[in-house]
Amino acid sequence: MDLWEIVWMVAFGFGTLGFAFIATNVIVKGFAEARSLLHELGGEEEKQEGQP
Amino acid sequence: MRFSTFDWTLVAVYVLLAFAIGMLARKRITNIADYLVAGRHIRYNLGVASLVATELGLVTMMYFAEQGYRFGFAAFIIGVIWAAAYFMIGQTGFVVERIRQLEIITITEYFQVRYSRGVRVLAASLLTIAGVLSLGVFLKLGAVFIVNFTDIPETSLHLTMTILVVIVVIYTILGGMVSVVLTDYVQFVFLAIGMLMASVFVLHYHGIISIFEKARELYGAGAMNPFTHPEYGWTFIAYWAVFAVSGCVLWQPVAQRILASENPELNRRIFKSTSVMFLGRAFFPILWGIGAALYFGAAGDPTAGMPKFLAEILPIGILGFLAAGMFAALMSTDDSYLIAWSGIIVQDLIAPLRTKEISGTGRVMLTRICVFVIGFLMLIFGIWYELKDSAFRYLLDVTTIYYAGGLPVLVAGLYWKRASLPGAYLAFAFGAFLPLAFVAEDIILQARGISEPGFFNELFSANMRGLMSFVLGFIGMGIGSIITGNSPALAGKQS
Repeated sequence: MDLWEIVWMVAFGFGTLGFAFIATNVIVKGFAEARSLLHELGGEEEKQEGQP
Repeated sequence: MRFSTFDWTLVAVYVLLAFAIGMLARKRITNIADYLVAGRHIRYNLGVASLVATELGLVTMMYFAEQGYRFGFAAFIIGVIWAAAYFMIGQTGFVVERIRQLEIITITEYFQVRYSRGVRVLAASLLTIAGVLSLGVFLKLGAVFIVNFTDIPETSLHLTMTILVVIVVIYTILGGMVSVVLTDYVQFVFLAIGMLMASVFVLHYHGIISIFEKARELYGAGAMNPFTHPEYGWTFIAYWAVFAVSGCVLWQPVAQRILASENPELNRRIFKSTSVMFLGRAFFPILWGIGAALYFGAAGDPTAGMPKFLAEILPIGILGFLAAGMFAALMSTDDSYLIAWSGIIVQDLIAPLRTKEISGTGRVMLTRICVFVIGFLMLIFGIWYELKDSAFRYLLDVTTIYYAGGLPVLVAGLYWKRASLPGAYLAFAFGAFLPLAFVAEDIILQARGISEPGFFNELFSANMRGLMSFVLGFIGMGIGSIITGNSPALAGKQS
């Protein structure tokens, strides 16, 4: 097994774990932010409509 | 092929969900800032999901898999450098922090603030050329994946491309950036889970350790070292490093997310997290490509190999989930790119050239018309144009048309007081020359039915051509600025 084989194995392991960790966080917390985005844009729209 | 009715149902559910979100978002759009940068309300998790989903297109997976199929694990260097560029920008705030503070909608808008309207229009023209030329390939590779992954006959490739374009154009026109960001989130969920599952199945099929051993046998013992690999080497690494930095700060779909975030500090966090995601973005499809090469042999089709291989080894249900994820990948990238380039055309080409101010509603309408026109152009170009080299190489060349001048103009504008208007023009002209000449020559030769490589193809190697373009761009900025100096007007703008 040469050096580059080990380098790519380690890099792949790190990349996979990092990907899985951040993806899980983003999936769990992103839903609330998506709802909030729609709410904020809707709120601005209502505010504009309500202005004299 | 084993693509079942259940798998198709999963895909259909996803498409309907995307349409529903497009319709929902449409009601919330009140102005051009809502349409193009989602009213600047994007927070951290949604920002990461959107950035990753945009840059994780089906085309990305296809060209990475193609690199993996052809060159093995050495192709991992592409992902490592790209991730390093994102991390460096996240760590230092290089460009992104200053640019977000300016409250602009497009990066090219900055060129007008710092230099002149002419520079903005020139940059927008080069960016539009680069964007539209790349979009045609996006569509084609997407269709190649779907045809080879499902049981659609290969003769229906063009029909598949047409249907894809119609779906993406309709829901982009409907919802603008709000729908793009929201569907990006849904797409991120499908993509992240689908990619991890597919990689597990590929590793299970070939063996975690044995896939490295088998690759060594197939590609040769020295093929893992990117520094000595004939396809990559030092020139590629230098070119790709500077290209990756440009991709972070100049590429409109990425820049649009920088400009859409709630505040400048948030951008740095988003970039750091995204850098880790981008390791997986490159590693997983490269791994699938290597798996396909080991399955079909080196003589197989490097482009169609990956989807064919996955269709062979994945079980029913996972096939549908991944297909929905891939379909999501195609839509998330194509819709973002359509809206990014339509925004550029309206904000940076049409609006600056008109003497009369265009209303917010007028701009939204014009942007929607541009989405339709670009969608039509990408379909025509995608059907007609045949790639000579790999898709990755083609996309590098067309994007360098804008990046090679854009990077020195942007960086010097933000960090060098002497950066001048002639320097900006020279940087764009010098930087765009080689890749533009190469791509134009290639298209002309194909239109004439000539298959031999042209003059610019043989002048430099592909890596050297790209690297030289950036060097020329910086030389142009340096010469123009040092000779002419900074005008009082520009100095005032800078302060």
